[in-house]
Amino acid sequence: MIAEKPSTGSWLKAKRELAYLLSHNTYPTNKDEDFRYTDLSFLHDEKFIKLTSKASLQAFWNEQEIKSKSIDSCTISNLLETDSAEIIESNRDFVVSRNTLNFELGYHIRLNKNNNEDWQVLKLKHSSEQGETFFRHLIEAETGSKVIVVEEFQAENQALINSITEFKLSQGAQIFYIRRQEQKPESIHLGGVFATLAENADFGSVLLQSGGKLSRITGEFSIDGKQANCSLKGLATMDKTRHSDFTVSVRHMASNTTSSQTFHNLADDNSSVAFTGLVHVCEGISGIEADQMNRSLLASHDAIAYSRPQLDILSDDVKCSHGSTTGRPDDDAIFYMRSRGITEKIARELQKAAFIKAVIQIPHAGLQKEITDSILHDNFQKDAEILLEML
Amino acid sequence: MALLEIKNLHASIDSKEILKGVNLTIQPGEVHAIMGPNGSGKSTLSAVIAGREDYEVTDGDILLNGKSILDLAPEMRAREGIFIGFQYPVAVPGVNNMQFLRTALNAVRKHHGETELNAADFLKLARSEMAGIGMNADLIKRSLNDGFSGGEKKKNEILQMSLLSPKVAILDETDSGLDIDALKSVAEGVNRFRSPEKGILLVTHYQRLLSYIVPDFVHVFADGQIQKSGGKELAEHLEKFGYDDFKKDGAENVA
Ligand SMILES: Nc1ncnc2c1ncn2[C@@H]1O[C@H](COP(=O)(O)OP(=O)(O)OP(=O)(O)O)[C@@H](O)[C@H]1O
Ligand SMILES: [Mg+2]
Repeated sequence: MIAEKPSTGSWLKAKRELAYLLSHNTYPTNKDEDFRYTDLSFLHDEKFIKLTSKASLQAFWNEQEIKSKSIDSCTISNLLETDSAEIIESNRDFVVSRNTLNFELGYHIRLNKNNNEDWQVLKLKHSSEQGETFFRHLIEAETGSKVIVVEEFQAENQALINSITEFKLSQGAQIFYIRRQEQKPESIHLGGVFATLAENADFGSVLLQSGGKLSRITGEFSIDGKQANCSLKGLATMDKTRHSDFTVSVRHMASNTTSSQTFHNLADDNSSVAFTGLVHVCEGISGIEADQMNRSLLASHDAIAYSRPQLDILSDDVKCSHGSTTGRPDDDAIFYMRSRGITEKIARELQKAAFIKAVIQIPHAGLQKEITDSILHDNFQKDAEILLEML
Repeated sequence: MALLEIKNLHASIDSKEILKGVNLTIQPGEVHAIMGPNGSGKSTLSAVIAGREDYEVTDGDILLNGKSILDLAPEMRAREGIFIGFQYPVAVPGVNNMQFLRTALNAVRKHHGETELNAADFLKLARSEMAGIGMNADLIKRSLNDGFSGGEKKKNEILQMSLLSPKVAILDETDSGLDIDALKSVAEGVNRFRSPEKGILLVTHYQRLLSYIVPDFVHVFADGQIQKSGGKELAEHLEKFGYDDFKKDGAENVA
C-alpha cells in the first residue's frame, strides 16, 4: 500500500505546533549533549536537502505486498489519516521534532493476536531518490502478537532519510525489530526507534547501519510492565570517511524486568563510530537485570571509536554489567591462521566477519541467513562465501 | 637431501638479537629434540621458521628440501609443509574449529594439486584422528581454541598436525599442560605421524616426553644457539644436572 498525502488530523496539528516551538525546524550542533559525536548543523548548508523529496514506501506481510486495510492479524492505515494517535513528544531531540513537523509518509499499524505460534513477518521498504524524506510509523502490538518487523532503507546519494518508528507493546506482545540501513555512500540516515513495553512484553532488535556517509539512530525503550524484556543489538560497519552513531537508552520502570544492549562497531579507513548507551533503573523497583556492552573494532589506524556507556541506577536490587572495549585486529590470531595455510586476506576478514556475525541473531532462520549473507557480501564481496563457511 | 636445514640463522626483534647463529639439519625420518632454559629463544626459532614478520632475519637461511623459504609468506610455508604446534595456541572466537581446519586442509591439498575434501569426508577423517589422540569430539564444533583448556588446545594442535600432514612438524612444548594420560595419547599421535619421509622437532623441558617419543638427536639450546648436540642420553644428563654448564650469563641460575 502506498501512503498518499492526506489532510492532517487535529491531533497532529497540536504536536506540530509544539515541535516547531521546540526546534524551529533546525538541526543540532555538537554542543547539544545528545549530538556530541554527530554535529548535524552542516545540514543547513547541504544543498541536496532543498531538493523536492522523491520517496516511496511499501509494506509486506509475510512476503506479500499489503494492498488493503487489513491482512491476516495486521491492520494498517496511513498515519496522517488516523483520527487520533499518540506519538512521542517531540522534546526528545531535534531529529524527532523535525520529523514530527515534516513527515508525510507513514503507517499506523495494529498487530493483533497471531493466528498461529510462528513469527509473522512485516516488512516496510523505504526509499528515497533525492531530498530530505521523513517517514513515521506507529506500531501497536496487541496481546498475543508475535511479529518480526523489518525496516529496509535505500537512498540515493542526494537523499536524507529521517525515519522514526514507535512501538507500543501490550501485555505479553512479542516484537523483534530489524532496521537495515543500506543507503548509498553519500546519503544520510537519521531517526530512530522508540518503544514502550507493558507487562511480560518482549522486544528484541538488531539495528544495522552499513550505508550512508552519516547515520545516527536514537533508541529509547521504556520497560513499564513487570517481567518484560528488552534485548537490543546493533552493528555498524563503516569505512572511508563515513560516520555512524548509536544513541540508546533503556529505562526500567517496573520490577523483575531484564534488558541487554550489545553493540558492535567496526570502523575501517578514516571512518568513525560512536555509541552512547544508558541504562536507567528507577527508584523502588527490584529484580532487575541489565547488561550493556559496546565493542569497537578499529581495522585501520586512522579510524576512530567513541564509546560512552552510562548507568543511572536508583535501586539496590539490580544485577548489572556494563563495559566497553576498543580493539584492533588480533595479529596473533591472524598469524596463527596463516600458519595453517589460510591467506592473510582471509585471516583478516575472518576477524571482522566474526565480529559482525556475533550480533546478528534473529529468531527466524530464513531472515538470519538472508541478512547475514547479505551483510557479509556487502563487506567482503566474493570472499563472503569462504567466510560464511568458516563462521 | 636434507628435509629442513637451518644455517647460521640470526634473528632479532625490536633490534634485540634473539637467535645468534642457529645451525640444525633434519633429515627425512629423523626426530630431533631441543631442550633449553626459559627465554633462550626456542619459541623464537619456531616463530621465525613459521614466518612471523615481527622478527627480522639478519643473517643465515632456512631451507626446506633445499629451497630457501625465507621469502615465503607464513601461509605459503604452511602449504609447502611446515607446521608449528604452538606453545600458546591462539583462540579465535567466532571462527568454527571444524570449518577452519577443513579450509586449511583444502588450501594445502589444492596447493599440491589434490582434490578438496567435502564436509562429510572431512568430518569422518577428523573424527578418527580425534579418537586417536583421545580428544573430545565436541571440541571440533566450537570456536577455534576459544575457551579450550590448556590440554585441549595442545590436543587441537596435534589434530591439526595429523590432518595437515606436513613434511616437518615443530612441536613447541606440546607436552606442557598435558595430564599423564593425555601425554601418552598425544605421544602416540606423534609416533603415528613419524615416518621415513617426515621430520619432527620437539621442543620440551621434560625428559618424560622423550621416553614416549624417542628422539634420534637431542640439542641443548641456550643464548640463541645450539650449544651441544648428542643422542637421547643427553636429555637424561640435562634432567639430572640442568643447564648450568651451558649458560653464559647465568641469569636463570638462582642458586
Ligand atoms: N618484542 C620483544 N622485545 C624484546 N625481547 C623479546 C621480544 N619478544 C621476545 N623477546 C625475548 O626473546 C627471548 C626468547 O624468547 P622465547 O619465547 O623464544 O624463549 P623460549 O626459549 O621459548 O622460552 P620458554 O622456555 O620460556 O618458552 C626472551 O628473553 C624474550 O623476552
Ligand atoms: Mg617457548
